[in-house]
Amino acid sequence: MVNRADLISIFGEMVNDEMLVVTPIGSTTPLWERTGRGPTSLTSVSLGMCTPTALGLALALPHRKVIALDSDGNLILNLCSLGTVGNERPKNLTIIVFDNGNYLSGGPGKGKPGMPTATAGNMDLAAVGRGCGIEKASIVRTEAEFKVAAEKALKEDGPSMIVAKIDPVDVRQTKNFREDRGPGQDTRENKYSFARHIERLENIKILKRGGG
Amino acid sequence: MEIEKARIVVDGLKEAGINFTVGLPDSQFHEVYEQILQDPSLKYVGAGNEAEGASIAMGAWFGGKKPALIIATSGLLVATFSLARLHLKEVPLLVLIPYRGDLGDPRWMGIYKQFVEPMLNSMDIPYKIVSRKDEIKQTIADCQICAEAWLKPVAVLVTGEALW
Ligand SMILES: [Mg+2]
Repeated sequence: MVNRADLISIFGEMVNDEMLVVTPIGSTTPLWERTGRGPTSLTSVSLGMCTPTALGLALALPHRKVIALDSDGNLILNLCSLGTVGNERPKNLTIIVFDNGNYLSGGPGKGKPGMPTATAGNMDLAAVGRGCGIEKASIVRTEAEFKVAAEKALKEDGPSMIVAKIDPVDVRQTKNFREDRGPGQDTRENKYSFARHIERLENIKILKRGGG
Repeated sequence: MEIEKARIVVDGLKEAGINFTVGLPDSQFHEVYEQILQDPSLKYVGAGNEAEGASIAMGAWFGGKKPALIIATSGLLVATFSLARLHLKEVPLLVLIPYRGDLGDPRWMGIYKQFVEPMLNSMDIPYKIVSRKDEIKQTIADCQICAEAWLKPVAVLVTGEALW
């Protein structure tokens, strides 16, 4: 099996700043920030909101590639969003799901898997995606398979979905809440840097002078 | 609801600059949804639940759109978690609701009223209740201006009385 960190660093090499990436809370965001693309991505999007937020972005900017780096527990919470994607069929949207089969990856600070998600049992998210009308939905289990699928997804019209089966545990040692949580943006700083990035790319105005 | 009143609501959205709508239908607003669906300038996305809907709207805002979330009173309760996150990120969003449990409700849904207003207050989501047809357009426009200025969700609750 492959791990999330390796796939994220591989994917970081494949995208450029012209593409827009949305990452959820959990371990994906800090790993994505290590690629240096945190400030030009929308990060730490909360439970169940990653794929739908990427969908809204993709529909608003149909000429621009948008990628959701979602995860199993997150996606299952608002699973209906796959149906919405399958009906809207945005050509510019790719959903990558890091599927580790459990919640709270790394366990509650003990290097163990968290409680199982439905994908640890019988649920096949790629089949759900296809059933929702996302025809280009596949499962990958190795780095090589991931690379091929991701390259294809970035090149071809979507919507596409890649379910990457990854190790149940990301990090053996999770930091204690009181320890230094490392560099990165908080959710509001990220909002501003991401919106400014889109303003530059699109030559549009999103943010206005505040009244406070 | 009369077509003419649905027209007022839809025109109100357009005049307020809304150009992206996300929703789940409520019977009170059936004709509003029908008209929105036929109007490409209001790009309607039908979500599977209201929390997903609020997230889609947030994404559209980052893409430069002026979104509105058009949902049932009960749906607001489903949307609360996503709306709380929009609040944290300080993302503006107009939330338009045909309000159940007030005058004009064909079926008493007072139980929702008991939850909804205290919930909006506790979530620090400002709201206006519209009970006169003549006030619909202006209230939508005012609430959209405030959502953008205050960087938060602002709700417009249109009672059955305004839609009679
Ligand atoms: Mg997981």
